[in-house]
Amino acid sequence: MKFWLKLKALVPTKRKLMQLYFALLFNANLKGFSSGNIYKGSTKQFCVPGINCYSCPGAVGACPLGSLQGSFSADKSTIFYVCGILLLYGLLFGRMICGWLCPFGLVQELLYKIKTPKLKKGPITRILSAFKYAVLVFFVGIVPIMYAFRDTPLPAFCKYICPAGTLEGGIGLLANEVNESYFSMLGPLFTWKFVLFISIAVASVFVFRMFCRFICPLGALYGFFNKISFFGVKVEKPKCINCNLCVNRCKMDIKQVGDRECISCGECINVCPTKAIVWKGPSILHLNPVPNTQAQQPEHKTAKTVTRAVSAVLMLAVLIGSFVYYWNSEPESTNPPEQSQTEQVERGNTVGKLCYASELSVVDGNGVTEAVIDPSATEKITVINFWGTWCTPCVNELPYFDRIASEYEETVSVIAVHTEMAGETEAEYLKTHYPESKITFAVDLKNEAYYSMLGGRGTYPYTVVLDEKGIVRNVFLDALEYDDLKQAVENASKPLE
Amino acid sequence: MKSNNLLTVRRIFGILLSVSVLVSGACLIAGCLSIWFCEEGEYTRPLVIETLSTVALPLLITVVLTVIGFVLEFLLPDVKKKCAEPKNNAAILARLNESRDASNGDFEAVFKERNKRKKRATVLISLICVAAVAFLAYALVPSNYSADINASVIDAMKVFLPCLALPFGYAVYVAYSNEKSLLREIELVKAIEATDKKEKSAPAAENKKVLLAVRLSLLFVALAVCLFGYFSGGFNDVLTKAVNICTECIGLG
Repeated sequence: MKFWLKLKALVPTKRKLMQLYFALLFNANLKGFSSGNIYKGSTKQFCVPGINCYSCPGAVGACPLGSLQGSFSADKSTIFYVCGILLLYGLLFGRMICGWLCPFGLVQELLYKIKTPKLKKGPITRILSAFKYAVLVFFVGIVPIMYAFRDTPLPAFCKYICPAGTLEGGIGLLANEVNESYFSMLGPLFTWKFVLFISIAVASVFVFRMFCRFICPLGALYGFFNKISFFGVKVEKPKCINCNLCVNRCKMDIKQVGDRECISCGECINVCPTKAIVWKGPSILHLNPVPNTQAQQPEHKTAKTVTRAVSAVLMLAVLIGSFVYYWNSEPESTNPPEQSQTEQVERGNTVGKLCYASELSVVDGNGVTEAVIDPSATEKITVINFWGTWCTPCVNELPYFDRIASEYEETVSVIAVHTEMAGETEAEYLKTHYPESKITFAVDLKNEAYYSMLGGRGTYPYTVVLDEKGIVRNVFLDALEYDDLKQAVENASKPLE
Repeated sequence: MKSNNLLTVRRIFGILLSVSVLVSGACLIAGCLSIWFCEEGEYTRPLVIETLSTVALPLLITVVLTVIGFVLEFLLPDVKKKCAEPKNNAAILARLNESRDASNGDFEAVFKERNKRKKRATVLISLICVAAVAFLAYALVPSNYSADINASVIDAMKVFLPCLALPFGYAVYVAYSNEKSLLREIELVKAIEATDKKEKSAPAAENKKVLLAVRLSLLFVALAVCLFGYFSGGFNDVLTKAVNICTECIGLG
């Protein structure tokens, strides 16, 4: 009997199953893991409720924190959209999202399963739990907003702290052999983030949900909604005898059930001797309802079982459907133009090959015009930089390109191709920031066709340097300093070895 | 096997596993730092694989020990640990005050304890406010955010962390001294004769209505803001950011 009880204890709880379900659902693009590319479909316009890096090869939705930080430097409507989503999630679920829907919460809980001695909560952990509010204010609020005033997008939390980004985005992409070129960009920032990630992972083995309790700004944000959220746990005051068993058993730093630290895991429901702790919201959604007289009636029990079975089948169908849908959702392939019979050098996107020509939307003071960009026809050294206003390093390095375009006006042609942006918006941006620039600004609207044609693999910034004949001489996957760019331009003027 | 022996086995195993986890973590960190601080100072796939292979042994030991841990948990009989419930003095005091009205007895000493805690809380809040003002005075000056983002953030952290340290240190002191104060108050409250039973206030139906009104109005605001943002094209920026990889933003470059 004891053996069976132990075996039963090994079966994951409903909450664990739900966490696993949502971790899989939010990362349903299984093909991304095998191909090493991220999903580029339309479902990424919606934010998922928990922390789930959108640069993860499997991610099918956007990260709410990354979107929030990005929205400060974007159009005002983006702030409304992202804040509205966060408000909606918070109002509906509060920190129940941390306990039930967040994939990184699952990772931490699995690490906590390792059978080591554990550090219990106490006054110090309670004080440390206030640190996440400081992270929220500084890394998600002040720094991105202050840099937004400088027109530089800076998701400071993603860049300097987010361990989910390191695990899913960083390691997730690097693990695939296809992305070998990404290793060349790794530097002190990756070293810092990797060290931080390992430290958090190791700490999570000893401290329950270390990241959620002390660092996570999303949890801090959702915590404000806990008291008023539609779903979660609550205490029915008349039944409560203040025995405090719920607070003592809880692994989070709560002072009472349902406060800002409560992740509504529901473990206290079974502990309460008077059944004073109950789920909020419609009873049909309760996963482990408090047994009552009505529940003991056989018809009611059958109805509950049927409802649960139907829900489970539906959920499974949605998950399998998502896997199939994302597996078969082929990105529009960009076929490079055919090789002309008269061309001596083979066209391609690697060093030594003749660069492809393409039709782009060129933006200047007069508006947007369609033009064919053929680097081999200019008889100048050509620098093609793929950038985006949402990308911090792109915005930071653009002045260097501007300087090169001015200094080498006679011999170098600089083309800055924006990833995706309505021509008018870009014209407005350029009017403000580069009114006198010698750079040719263009927009790569057709599913980033030119970017893919020149070997871009989803990372920005991306720079290709060509010589006077239009032959690829250098390809840069990361942000450039002025000296690097100048060196590349000078090298392109020398004959190819 | 006796329960004491079982407990000892588990404790020793737990310590062994802890050491293994810590060593594995340290090895991974050391491996990463060794690549960055080595002569070339550049990450390459072969170099990373080579470094990982050198830390493979402690990682493997940790994995094996973790599996053994689960097996032991499954095979060994349960041991009832004699551990007391963690004390929550504030809750005990609340429970005592629920049934006894301390203010009707010799309450001077009780109030003295409460005042002590209030004073500490006031000092703590003041410290937090001073630290916040000091930090914001730095953080809200646009000129402190230069084009060299990393240097600016590090400079801001140099101001941020000291500002945080003082309230944190005082908060730790407050936490421990308040626990002692609570213990003293519990003793005092227990000593006071209960004269009146405190009346439990019935949950006001009004509160529920207010809560519902707040919920519904916020829900309406959330939906309105979200839909306004969506139909004004706010999703475009979210989509653009999500379908492209800003390498610096995920800590790669």
